[in-house]
Amino acid sequence: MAGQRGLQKWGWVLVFLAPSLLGLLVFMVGPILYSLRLTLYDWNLLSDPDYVGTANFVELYHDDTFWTAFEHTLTFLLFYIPSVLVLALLTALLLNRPLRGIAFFRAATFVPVVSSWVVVSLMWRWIFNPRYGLLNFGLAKIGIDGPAWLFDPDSALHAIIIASVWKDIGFIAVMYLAGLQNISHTYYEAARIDGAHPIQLFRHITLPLLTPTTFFALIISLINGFQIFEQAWLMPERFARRGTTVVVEQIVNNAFRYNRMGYAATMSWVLFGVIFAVTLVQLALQKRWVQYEQ
Amino acid sequence: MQLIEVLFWAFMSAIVGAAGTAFVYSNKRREPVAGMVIGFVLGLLGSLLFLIPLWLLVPRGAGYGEEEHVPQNVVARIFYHFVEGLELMAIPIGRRLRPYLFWLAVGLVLFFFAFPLYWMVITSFKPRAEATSETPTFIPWVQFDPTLQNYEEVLIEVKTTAYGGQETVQESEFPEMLKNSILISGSATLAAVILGTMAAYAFSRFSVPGENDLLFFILSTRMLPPVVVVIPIFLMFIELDWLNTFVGLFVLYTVVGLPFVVWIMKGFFDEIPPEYEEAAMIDGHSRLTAVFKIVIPEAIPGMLATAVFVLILAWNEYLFALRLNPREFSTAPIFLSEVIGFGRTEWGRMAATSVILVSPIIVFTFLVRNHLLRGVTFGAVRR
Repeated sequence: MAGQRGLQKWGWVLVFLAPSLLGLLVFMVGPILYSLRLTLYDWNLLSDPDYVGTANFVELYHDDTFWTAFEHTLTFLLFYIPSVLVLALLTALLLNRPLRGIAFFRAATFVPVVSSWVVVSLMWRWIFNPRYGLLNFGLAKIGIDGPAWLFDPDSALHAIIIASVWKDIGFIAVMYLAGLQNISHTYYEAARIDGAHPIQLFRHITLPLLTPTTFFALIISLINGFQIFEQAWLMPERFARRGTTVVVEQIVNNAFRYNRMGYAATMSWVLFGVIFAVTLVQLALQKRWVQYEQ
Repeated sequence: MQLIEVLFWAFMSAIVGAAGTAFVYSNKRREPVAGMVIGFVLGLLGSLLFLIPLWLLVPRGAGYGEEEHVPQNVVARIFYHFVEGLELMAIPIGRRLRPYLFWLAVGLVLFFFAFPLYWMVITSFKPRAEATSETPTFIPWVQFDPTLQNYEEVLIEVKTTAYGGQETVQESEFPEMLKNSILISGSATLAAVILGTMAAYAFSRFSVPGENDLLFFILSTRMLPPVVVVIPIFLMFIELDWLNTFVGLFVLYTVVGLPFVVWIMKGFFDEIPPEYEEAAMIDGHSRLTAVFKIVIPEAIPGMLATAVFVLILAWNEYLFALRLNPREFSTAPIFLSEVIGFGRTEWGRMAATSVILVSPIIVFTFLVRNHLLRGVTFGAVRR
């Protein structure tokens, strides 16, 4: 009797899970394994794939274009991560008040997050336009001669960083808002009775209790940041690209412009390796600074 | 003051210095990396110049929760009282100004987030000459006369009159692509939510092996760049003859949305007590009817919220759509990205396209605003 029930139970599990698992296996796990195998081949789609062993990795190591792209990605992260975390925290602190209508402001910060990168890139291309763009118009009003932004290889990456920060603040701010609301009022009340002032409250209660949120936000935004593509692909003008080319852009170029499937797969696995390693380091380091509430 | 604080502030100043100098350098067409290094060093040294005396003079552990020790030597005392005085002055001023400062700050935040969007919306109503004018105009009806021409051109056709007075009419491709977008993302969302809900139910109600490494699994699916999958999928679709078809993108978006649906819906199901359907089953319902009669009605709000997230994912997707469906069954983001690249930029038309693309998403986002956090964290954080 019990055995029959057990069988029935597993039958149901199978019925419920099979379609999803099958789909994921065929269109997700399969392709992932296939691309791992591709890293060992040289293939231009026209002739048969050539087994080349580790030659793709060796070439990658000596490929200046790839390292430039990698450097741009790291530069992007260097500016993007601290700015987006700090600004999101400030936004969350500001909007964490039980006021009427505050929900409207919270939702407003989330609008860029759900907008397509195509739309956002377009909008910022226009704001950054050196001739009739709003930003340089505004800068000129206060006496600054703005750079050519997306027309200039030296400042195009900065423009991309600004647009990315703008788009992602709301994403992180939602996490911080939740983190703030999870902090019990009793901590603040107790500290206030002891005579702590607002700066001390923030420094010794809010900040430490938000470290788990910061940790999660840091991991997610590093993972997303390493994969930067759409904005770097859509925003800069053609002749400014040498200053902005990023890793994923190189992968797409190699796969679909130069038809080098094996080499592109190698690049994407190296990128995955880097992201994986960085995340593992973060998980290992979290004990040092993340304070989980007992 | 702790050593760690000194290091923290020194490092922060160094980063700010590096960012600022690199920015100035790149504006002046000098090597930004050199600027970054110089700025980093300057920021570090400059802040240490201030921080090291502070560290030496201000007693360690001064701050909330510990007894403050007023330092003994004269210089340190002056310094200590100076800092204390600044704090004492700042607090009442801050308290009085706070409501004004608060609304000022909220206003700035709103401006920062909403202004680019406002600019996009008004530009979509501007006549062509107005859109590229070097002195921007901001207020419709006062500074310019709004027109629906851009929307007509995007949704219906573009009429151009040649010199001879001959009128050519070019039909817009956008409605077709918008229809594709609606069809593909709508049906993929439906499929992903139905299949994913089934799997989530199984995960929630039965102990399926290996479900415990939830967070790490979530992270690892996200760590894998989508480009890893693009190449094999592209090759697979060549074999299946699925490039430029409805089926290809439909299947792909369903599969991409699935893990997302599973984890979010598992969270929703975990909140519905299993006793509900157990009671129904004791009353003689089969598990299937119990699920449909008891569990699904409870889970509907969650399913709708999840559906919105998947819809947004599929609606905005760019990389796969660009590579897999460049010619037939192209989606709306591709239309927009293609007009970016060519010839004279029609800002008005592009703004109108953007408004059409973004407004349904905004409406949906407002509808699921209570579940945003679940969507953002892949169901890891529940509220």
